Amino acid sequence: MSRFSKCLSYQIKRKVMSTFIFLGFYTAICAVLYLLTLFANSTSNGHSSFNSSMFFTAAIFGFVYVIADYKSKTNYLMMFGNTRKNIFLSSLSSNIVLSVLLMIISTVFSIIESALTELLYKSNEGMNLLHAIYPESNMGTEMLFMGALLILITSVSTLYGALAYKFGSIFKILFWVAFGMSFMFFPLSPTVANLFNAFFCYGVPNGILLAPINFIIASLILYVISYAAVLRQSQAV
Amino acid sequence: MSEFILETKALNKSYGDVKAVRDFTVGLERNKIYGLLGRNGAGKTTFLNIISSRIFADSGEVRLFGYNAVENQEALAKICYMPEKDLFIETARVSRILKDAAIFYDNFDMEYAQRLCKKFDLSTGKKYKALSRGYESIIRIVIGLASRAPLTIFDEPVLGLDAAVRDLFYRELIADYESNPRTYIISTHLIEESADVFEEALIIKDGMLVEKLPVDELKEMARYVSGKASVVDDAVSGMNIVHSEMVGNVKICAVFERLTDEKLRMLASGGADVSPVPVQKLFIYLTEQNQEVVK
Repeated sequence: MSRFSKCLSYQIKRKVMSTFIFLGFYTAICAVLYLLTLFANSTSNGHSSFNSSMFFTAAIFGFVYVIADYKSKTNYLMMFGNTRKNIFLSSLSSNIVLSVLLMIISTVFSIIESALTELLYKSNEGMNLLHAIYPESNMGTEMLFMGALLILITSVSTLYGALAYKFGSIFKILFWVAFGMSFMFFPLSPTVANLFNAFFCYGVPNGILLAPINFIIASLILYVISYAAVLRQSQAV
Repeated sequence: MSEFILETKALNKSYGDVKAVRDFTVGLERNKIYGLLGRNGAGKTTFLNIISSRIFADSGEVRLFGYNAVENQEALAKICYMPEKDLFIETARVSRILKDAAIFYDNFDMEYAQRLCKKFDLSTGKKYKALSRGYESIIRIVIGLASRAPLTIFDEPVLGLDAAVRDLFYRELIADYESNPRTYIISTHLIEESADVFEEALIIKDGMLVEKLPVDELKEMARYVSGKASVVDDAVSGMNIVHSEMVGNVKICAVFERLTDEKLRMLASGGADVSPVPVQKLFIYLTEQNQEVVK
């Protein structure tokens, strides 16, 4: 077994295990909320429904997990005599596995949720945001979109992790200040809005199929930048 | 093919204005235990980090098992470097860490690791973050010994360990070395008690290699010459004096060079007392800030 395979297997195991722990907690919380809405439905004349927004939560989990895990995992694998190249490439591959796993979980959750809504509330009115943005979408194209978007999100996290590892707290402070300020300025800028629409292929025919291409190209660029940051990086403790 | 498993040529590494490693050239042989000795900030950890590719040298060359060591997986796979700093995943249990080590070290002996855990009274069910400083050192010792890596490196392996556990470590090291010979580099401050374990000592001062000698030879070369100041001054004239002090009317000089039996007899007949210098003291003399480099 090559060192790359060992690193990959180690990283996939860790990520899959963490994902299932996350899933366990999330399912428990959703079950409680479901019961609450059921209870509310049975004690009032109004109509209740429930949407777990699994994909958004999964995306946040993927983003935070990759960042939180970056430094400790890199140092740990380096201590066991693995090269930066093997650690990085195995991280990239395991991030793709994580993205696909989260995409499958989100889809399965969505299917179960529709079935439950239909069964419990006798309604199939559950809102699908992707379907609202891309009217021509179906489950297959939505899965493709979600998978590519998750790959992009984990590539952003990897770049964040690599730069935070390299520059330490200075980078973290600057990043989060800039991130916070972006919420004040970006919505006011028509250029940013146009770029955003173009990137997500909003309003473009077959946009849900074209947007994933943009996501993958962007994630490739981010991974190349991350690799450049990692390649000659001294170990930081 | 080179006789050395590790060769460095003119290594240099600076942090700003501080030269952590300077012109470091050394060759280490197969199946020997090397002691890496130097004061705080002498450059020991920087040197170890460079040879294990954790950091990059500014200039110079490192060859491990014949390979250029920089980011070379073939070379790095043959090293087990247990650093002083915490690099373990804090939430992982000891058993998990041992399993991970077994994945990455081809010759890792899990049975031996389990036996060592029992001997050192290390609970494998504990999380790393719950371990005391001493047990953090013990887990490094267990992984290093059980890794059976052709080049095993310990940076300050006995930090936080009491005398009995330190003694157990030295005995285990020797026992395992006899049955599974390999090259060790052990960086430590506790020289007196570990000197008997080392076959060769590498003494570093200000980032430079000051001495690389078999420990027995090191002990033989270091002598105190003491007596009346005038007698001692005459006796040590022209010798390599690494330390001198006055205690009352008695002058004590530590000399560091190969002395023939004839020379020793001459010193004694001249009225000077000659006695061995403890290794720890010799190390202090060789690395004293006002001491000239003895190369």
